[in-house]
Amino acid sequence: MPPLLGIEFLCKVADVISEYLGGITEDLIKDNFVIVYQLLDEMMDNGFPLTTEINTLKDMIAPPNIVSRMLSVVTGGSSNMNTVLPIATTSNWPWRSTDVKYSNNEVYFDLVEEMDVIVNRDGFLIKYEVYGEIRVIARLSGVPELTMTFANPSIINDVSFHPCVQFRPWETHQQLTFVPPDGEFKLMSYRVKKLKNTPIYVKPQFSSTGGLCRVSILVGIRNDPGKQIDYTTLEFPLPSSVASWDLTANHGNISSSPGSKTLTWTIGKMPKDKSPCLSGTMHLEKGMDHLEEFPTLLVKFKIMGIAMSGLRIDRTDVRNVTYSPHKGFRAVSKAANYEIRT
Amino acid sequence: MLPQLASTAASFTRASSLVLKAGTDAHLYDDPHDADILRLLDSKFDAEKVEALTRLLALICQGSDVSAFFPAVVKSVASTNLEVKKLVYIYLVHYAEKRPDEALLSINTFQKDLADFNPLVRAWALRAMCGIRVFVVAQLMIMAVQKCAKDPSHYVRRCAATAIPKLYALNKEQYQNTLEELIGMLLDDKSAGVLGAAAAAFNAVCPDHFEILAPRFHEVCRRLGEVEEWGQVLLVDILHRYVVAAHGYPGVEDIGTDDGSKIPHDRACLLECTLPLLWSHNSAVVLAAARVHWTLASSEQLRKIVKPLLFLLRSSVDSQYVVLANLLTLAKEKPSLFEEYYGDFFVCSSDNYHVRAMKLEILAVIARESSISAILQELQAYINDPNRDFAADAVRIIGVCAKKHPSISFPCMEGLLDLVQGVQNPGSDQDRIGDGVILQAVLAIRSVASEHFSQVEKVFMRLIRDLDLIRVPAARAVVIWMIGEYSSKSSLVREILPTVFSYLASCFVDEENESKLQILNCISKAIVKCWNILGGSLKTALLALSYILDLGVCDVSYDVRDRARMLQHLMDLHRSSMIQGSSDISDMLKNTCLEKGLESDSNSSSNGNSKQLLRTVPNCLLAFPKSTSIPLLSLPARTFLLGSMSHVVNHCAPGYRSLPEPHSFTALPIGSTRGISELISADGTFTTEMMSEEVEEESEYTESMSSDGSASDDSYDSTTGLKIAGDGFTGSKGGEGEFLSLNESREVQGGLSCTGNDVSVAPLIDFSDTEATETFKPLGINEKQVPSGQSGISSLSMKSGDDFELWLASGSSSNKQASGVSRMSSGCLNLSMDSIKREPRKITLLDFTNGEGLEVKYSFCFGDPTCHKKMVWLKLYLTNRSSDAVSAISLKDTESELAKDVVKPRVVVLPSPELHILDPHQMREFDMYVDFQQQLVPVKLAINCNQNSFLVKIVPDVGTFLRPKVMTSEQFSIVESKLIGMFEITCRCFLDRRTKSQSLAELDADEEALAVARMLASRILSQINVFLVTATIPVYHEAISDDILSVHLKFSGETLVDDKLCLVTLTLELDPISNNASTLLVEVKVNCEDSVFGSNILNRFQKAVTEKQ
Repeated sequence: MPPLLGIEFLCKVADVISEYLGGITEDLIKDNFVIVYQLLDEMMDNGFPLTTEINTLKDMIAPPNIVSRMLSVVTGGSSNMNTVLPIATTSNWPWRSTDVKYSNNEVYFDLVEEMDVIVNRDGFLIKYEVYGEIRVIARLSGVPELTMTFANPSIINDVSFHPCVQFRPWETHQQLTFVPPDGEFKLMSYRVKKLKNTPIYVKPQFSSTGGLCRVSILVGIRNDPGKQIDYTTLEFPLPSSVASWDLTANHGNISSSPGSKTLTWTIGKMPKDKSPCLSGTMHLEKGMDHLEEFPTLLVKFKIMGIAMSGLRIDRTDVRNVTYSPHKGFRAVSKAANYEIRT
Repeated sequence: MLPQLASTAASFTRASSLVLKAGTDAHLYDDPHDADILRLLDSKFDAEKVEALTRLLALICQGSDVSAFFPAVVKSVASTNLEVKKLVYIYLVHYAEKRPDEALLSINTFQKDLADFNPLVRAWALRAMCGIRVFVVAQLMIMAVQKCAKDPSHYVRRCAATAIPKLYALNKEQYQNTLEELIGMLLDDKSAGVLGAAAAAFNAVCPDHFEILAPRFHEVCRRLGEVEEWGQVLLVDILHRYVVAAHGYPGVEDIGTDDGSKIPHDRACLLECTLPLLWSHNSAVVLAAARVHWTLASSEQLRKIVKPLLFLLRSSVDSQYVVLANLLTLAKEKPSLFEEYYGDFFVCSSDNYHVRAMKLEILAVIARESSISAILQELQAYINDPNRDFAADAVRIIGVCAKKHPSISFPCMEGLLDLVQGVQNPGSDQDRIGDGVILQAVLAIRSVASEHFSQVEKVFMRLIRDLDLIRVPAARAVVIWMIGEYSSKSSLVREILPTVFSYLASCFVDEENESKLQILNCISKAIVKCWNILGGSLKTALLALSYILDLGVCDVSYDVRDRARMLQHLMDLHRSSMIQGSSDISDMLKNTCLEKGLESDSNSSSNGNSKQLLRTVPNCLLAFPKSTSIPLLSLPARTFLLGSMSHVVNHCAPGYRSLPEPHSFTALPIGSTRGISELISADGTFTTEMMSEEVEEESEYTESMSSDGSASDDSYDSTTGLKIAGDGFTGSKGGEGEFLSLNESREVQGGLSCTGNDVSVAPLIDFSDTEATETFKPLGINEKQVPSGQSGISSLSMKSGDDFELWLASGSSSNKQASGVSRMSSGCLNLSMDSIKREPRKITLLDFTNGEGLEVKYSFCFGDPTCHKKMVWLKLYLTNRSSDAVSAISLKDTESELAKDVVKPRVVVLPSPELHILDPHQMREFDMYVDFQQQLVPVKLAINCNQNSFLVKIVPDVGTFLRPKVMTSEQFSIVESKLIGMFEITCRCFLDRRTKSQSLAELDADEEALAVARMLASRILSQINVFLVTATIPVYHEAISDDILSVHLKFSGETLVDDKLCLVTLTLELDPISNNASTLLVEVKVNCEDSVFGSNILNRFQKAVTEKQ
């Protein structure tokens, strides 16, 4: 058995369970251990994956929800088993059953982008790339065929697709053609490399002499993305030689978790009129003259409504059906591995 | 107010948590013993059963052994509620191996469920049945899988495919053939999900049997995209191995092969079909596809795999290490592929140590002149990393890069030196840099120095100058070693040697062992190597040496002492050998030699040849290995197949399979592969054949056929479906018909002309003989009586003449029931039971040599016994072979005697064998009836004669546990149509054509059909007590343009003990095209009310058919 197959399968199991239970914690699994057992039994047989498609699984084993639980309490009976086999996969599209019907036909596209940034200690950008996913929620009747074109497909460096995406149209003219699975799925993931303009800048300064370390970290908007930069936090591990710290910020608040020795500066919404600044001193342990290891700052933030890679969906068409569905688009960008070396 | 509020809030949270927990299984998990589980299990309400089973499951979760409830749970297996069923199945599979006997109780329910109309129930039953892994029911499992492999629901077929490895694990050898056959069938399945599971089965059961795959290769390739991701991984692997085995790797082999056009075709097909998989969102699929391209694609096409592989690094944190390990292997092989993507291997703070080490090594491998500066900058940043091990690795990689790229070696050396010198900053803690980092820095300098010493000479001088500041013993040792090594090469080093030596001598006492050893070596080496060029400093060196040698021999460490002693002797020898060359220091040397008391030794040996020897000895001993290349990191080279588990762990993991030997598999010739593929393909699905052009046309045809088949979705019935015509008959129907009719008329004439002759020689058929026993004259006798010297045509028709005679006779007397062969309306010959001879075999029970002249033989009797209908009928032959009379003969069943309470005797012999005497050469026959109780356990008998007792065993035969059941062909088909589902089992076996001295192959197809049918019928009827209902043999006729002749033999019987019906059909196909094939395929189908007995009788039939005569 190839190791990646095992790893991918375990990831899939984790995905499915958290999709069913809304997370993976000991309590959640305990509360729903029968469902977990049933899921595991269905997902693999004799060490080989059996049914792993989440939408098919949901047809076979109903996910727990408050209504079914209440019903079970009231009526005394509880069954989350579907008594018939889902009719999926007789067609050419194993991920979709042919008899889907909705009164409101709608399809939503979410562009979720994650930024990976490395800034070195001289302030130079070493790496800035965006990893993005297009997540789709499709509630469409019949067997629709969707096509999607991008305004600027050339910026995409790498891609990987859901099996529903056809190979040829992408190969020839960078167009996504697919019959979507019913429900929620990840249509494609992509990577855009060698980007230049990070939305924010972080200027850290650590200068230490005589057992004291002066800290000053300046954060600000470099290239205004035009949308609110939200949920901004900045965290770094406290160097092991730091005995105590006395830091203040002109915006947001500072906290540290005693166990992990990590300092977190929560800024929240990035103010447009001023640059948040964290300053103060850290006292080193006795006998230490200056700081010997320099922490790497990790920045987190989220920008709603914009794809930082600049990828734009040009148009989407739905064919093969008589109705015209409602289409929705969203974008969100997050800082995933945004690190500043000091 | 406030406390009130608080208490309200508290109760609210309690209430809300209760609401949230309500309806979940949490309470069952927390207190599984809360209720009486047994009572709940016995409840008639499904909800209570579910609760009980849930509690059991909770206990299993928590690690308790609840196998005590097994019997109670097995009882619930018959429940119709699906949830109960599912939970019971989970429980059963968990505990069945522990309690196999009780698990057997559930088999009946499984069998019933297998016939359920709900595919989900069928699938579950199959999974649970095969999951319980009880050896006894393996045969039933096989049957269930065979049944389910033809199920209309693809989900059930898929479960059948997944069950194959389970059966294989249960018994590796016994079912190999059956399972392979099933796999072949499932690989043809039109549902992609089944194909994936079939691939898994193929991998588990017969990973090297490419002949199953060969005819389907293109079809499987084409459908690769539809298969679900897990199946894709395995399928790609199988196809890859097939292509390598069949066609080898691209390159030199292509030129050597005779038909070059086809081989790249296969390879190109696989490459093309795996190309879209590189965009899969499953990393395992991408890696599997990339591996195919890696081994098979041309180098310009290889670039296609680079980006998808690099993108895998972003797919999930967990798979990063595996992906990197594979990338490293690729990068080592072809660094050019990755050189521009170095940025992807930059380390980020969230990476763990192993991932970082991997990335560093890849960076070192792919660094080029163009990228080295950027990489170096990045590596420098890593030196500040809090993880010092990682920083040390980074330093080491800097050394590797510096050595590889001379352009950067000088700045690198400067940087490394700064690093080493960084220690000298007062107040700085050495821990910050870390021992490892300094050691690695020094090692890096050493490794660069070994290649480009002139460039680093100055750096080295500074390093020596700062030797005092280096406090890491290992690093010091390396620097000291370098001094000794380069003292002979560099005049700069030589100049400072006296200072260094005196410094080393002064600090010798405080050094660590490691450095002490190196100091000893270093000074000795410098003296040996530079004896003549040291000049004035030689004196200092010798003084320093004698000083540290004195210290060394008294050191606390025995290692240092030993080294010092050895060097002392060596240096003395060396000195005395050099003494003539430099007389100015001879006094001093003499003194030292005297001090050591070695004068006599050294003087005596300082002459002639030994002088030369003495000079070389220390040189040899002190010359340390020159190879000072740095191994990259501690990561060993990986030789295992990319993407495999063994590749990651770097030792052979269980189940590892390397790629097969190139060209180890040669595809069978087209005719024979076709035979196999056609025979295996059932259900109206077809396989595309090998790649010849004519077959391509044919495959179009078959594709249209299969699409029809899928539209009607009639795969549930077990008919063998359409068969494709052989090449010779496509498009020439008319001509063929003419030919056949001609053939037949010729035969008719020949038959007619010879009839008179034959009749006069011997009666062909004795119509009046209605006995079913061996009175009918066998065919072979007739043939022998035909005079040999006849012309071709007449001899041909002579052979078939008797059959034709029968045919004619039956045509005229259709009302005769006893006719041997009757003409069917469908143009088939029908052979009936009476014309078949039965040859029961006599088995020796007691040999006359052992039995004092008494010989006892027995044979099974066929037909319906007149009495003791529930017992097996045998004939017993007693012969006296001695010259004296044998007296007081009797037979006793030993076991019945032991068990006194047995009411019915197990063995009855008629007439009573209580003989008083048997005269010499006299033979007596007895009828014997034995009750084997349907068990294959031998019955032990004691034969008494002449006051002696002989113990003998009668071994039962399954074939005799039946009694013939007379029925008509119509009745047969009615009963057969009822006994389907689990009652029906089939198997295939091969009949050797050449068994009968080549007589079969020489005959025409229809003659052969008759002969084979006769032979088969005779074999069966001689061994198995059944009734031959019909034997249908087709004849060539204008009306029938079937290209394949199928012979059907139908037998019926019922079990002795409980009168259960058992119907057996043998189907045999004679393909006139594949006439040269040495075997014929026979399909045996058993419909029996008792499925266990059915499987036994199936095996018996198989044995009877395949046995060699």
